[in-house]
Amino acid sequence: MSGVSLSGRPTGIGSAVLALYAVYLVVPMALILIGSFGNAWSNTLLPVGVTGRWYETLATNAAFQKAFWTSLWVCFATVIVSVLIGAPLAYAVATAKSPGMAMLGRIIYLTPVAAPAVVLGFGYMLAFSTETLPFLGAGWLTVAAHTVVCLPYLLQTLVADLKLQGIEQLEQAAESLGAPFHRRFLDIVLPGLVHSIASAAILVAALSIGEFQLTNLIAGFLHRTYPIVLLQAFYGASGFACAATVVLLTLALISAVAGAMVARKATFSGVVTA
Amino acid sequence: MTLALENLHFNYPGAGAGVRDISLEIRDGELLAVIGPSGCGKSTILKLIAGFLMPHQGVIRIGDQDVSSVPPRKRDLGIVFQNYALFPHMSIAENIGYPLKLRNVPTAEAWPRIREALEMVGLAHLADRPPRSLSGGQQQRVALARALVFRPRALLLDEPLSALDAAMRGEMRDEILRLQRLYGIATLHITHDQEEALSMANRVAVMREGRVLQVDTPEALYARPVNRAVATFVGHANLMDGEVLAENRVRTPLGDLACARHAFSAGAGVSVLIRPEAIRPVAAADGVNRFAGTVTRNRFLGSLRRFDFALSGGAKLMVEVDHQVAPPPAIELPPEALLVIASSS
Repeated sequence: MSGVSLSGRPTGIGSAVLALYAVYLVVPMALILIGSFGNAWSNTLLPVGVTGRWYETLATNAAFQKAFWTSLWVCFATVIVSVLIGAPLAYAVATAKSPGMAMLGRIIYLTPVAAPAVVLGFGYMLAFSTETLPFLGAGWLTVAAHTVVCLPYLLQTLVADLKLQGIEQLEQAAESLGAPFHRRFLDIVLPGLVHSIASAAILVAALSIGEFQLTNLIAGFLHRTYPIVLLQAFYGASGFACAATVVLLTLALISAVAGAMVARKATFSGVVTA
Repeated sequence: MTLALENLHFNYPGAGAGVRDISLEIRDGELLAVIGPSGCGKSTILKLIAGFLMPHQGVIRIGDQDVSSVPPRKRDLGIVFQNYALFPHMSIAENIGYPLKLRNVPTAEAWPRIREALEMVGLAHLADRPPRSLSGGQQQRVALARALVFRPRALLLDEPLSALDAAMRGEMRDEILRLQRLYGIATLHITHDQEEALSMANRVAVMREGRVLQVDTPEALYARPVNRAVATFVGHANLMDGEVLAENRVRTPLGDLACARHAFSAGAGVSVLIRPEAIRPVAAADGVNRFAGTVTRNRFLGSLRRFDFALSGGAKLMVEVDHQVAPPPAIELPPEALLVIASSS
């Protein structure tokens, strides 16, 4: 029996699976939220007592504050660099005349997804800890690494959107009307990608904010991001760890909700689905 | 301005398909339709003229200018694409005004031209709407207005009606013809729909396997196809293999038949064509080219009726008669309607 009715509404087994998944998704987050306001939490199902001191401690903790702002600027820079590289690259892949070139482009930009982050991180460590390239721990290297990790997701979105729009024919139409390459790119390609760039950029932001594996290997002491510092909180009081996690969770949720809203707007305006 | 193709040759890399030795001329104000089965090369011709493909041999002229190596943006050709290719982020007016913007036409001059183009296609009231809010027919009108607003040297139509439903297709045929006549512009119309081509074009080119088989007026193409391939593609046809006996006699599986005069020599292998509507229902098989038989299928098609008429020898012919005619016991193949044509190209 199908779990989804013809009208697209979940039914029977589908509803049960959906409910179970929602519980699985929400319960850990709810517990973290409750724990962040708990006075003490040890060997009990729920914390004992209510307090806001963990957030006060967090707000005055210099290491967390610095990590928070580092995460924000790394995230912002990653988004900018990803879009600047991603938009032309997506265009090149989507409009590649030779199937071989298109395939090569896909392999190159999907490799970071296939390769484990620890492999990439180890590669960065080897490459950038030499006397010739002594950049391990530099902030810009973290941005570069985040860009490598996030770019495939941005490209997937943009390439799919370009193909969905039939960009090749739109460009041919513009060209036949008299548009040289730069006008076609600025007048037709980029405006058509506005919504998907926005939603992909928010996806990149969410990935960058939460990136841990690679950053843990390459970020120096001066440029530790929030997830790296958060790990240390797990060795201290549970309430403090929960409060620190809630901050990260809030950043991630803001990104996800903003992404969903942009995607919804794009869908309704018909640009993405045209 | 006249559009001319001279001995055009193109092959897709790694594939046998392409076009060979294409020579066509579309005169000012003329609409030439190119028809043929899928993969015959008709769209390749449009891409070559537009400049999206470069010919390996041959010349493309617009007026007196050889544009074979001129980039598409400098050819000044209006193109209407099969799926309209309207820019989704621009309004209708912006879409139509885009070629004027590219030509740096001042706003004061551009807007009256955009308005005129909108009025010409009856969409002035939708100027600010986005393309997606329009029906298929309306979008095609916008595409047509956009292709004409900058006064191109020729117009290329790439299966412009194939995405529309049957009712809208008829309406758009008239609309395209009206605008094409109004602008008096040389127009190439690519289509796989023979009815569309025959009803709209001044002349029709029939293509097969990358070659043009025949270019003629719709009437001549139907009445005097040069070979079996053209006869098969244009209209319904009864075709038989034959051997020429004399200038007005041919041997066929139905027997020796009297036929229209032809230029083939005796003994030549030919094809023998008779159109379904040229076959006459008769009361008895007692005369030249008359055969008895039975109607095996009887289809009512509105103003006419189409029979499958099985002859006693086993051969079957398609017959079209007025819808009021009853299934006949015999048919006549009038000699003047029995055409002897080449078997191959």
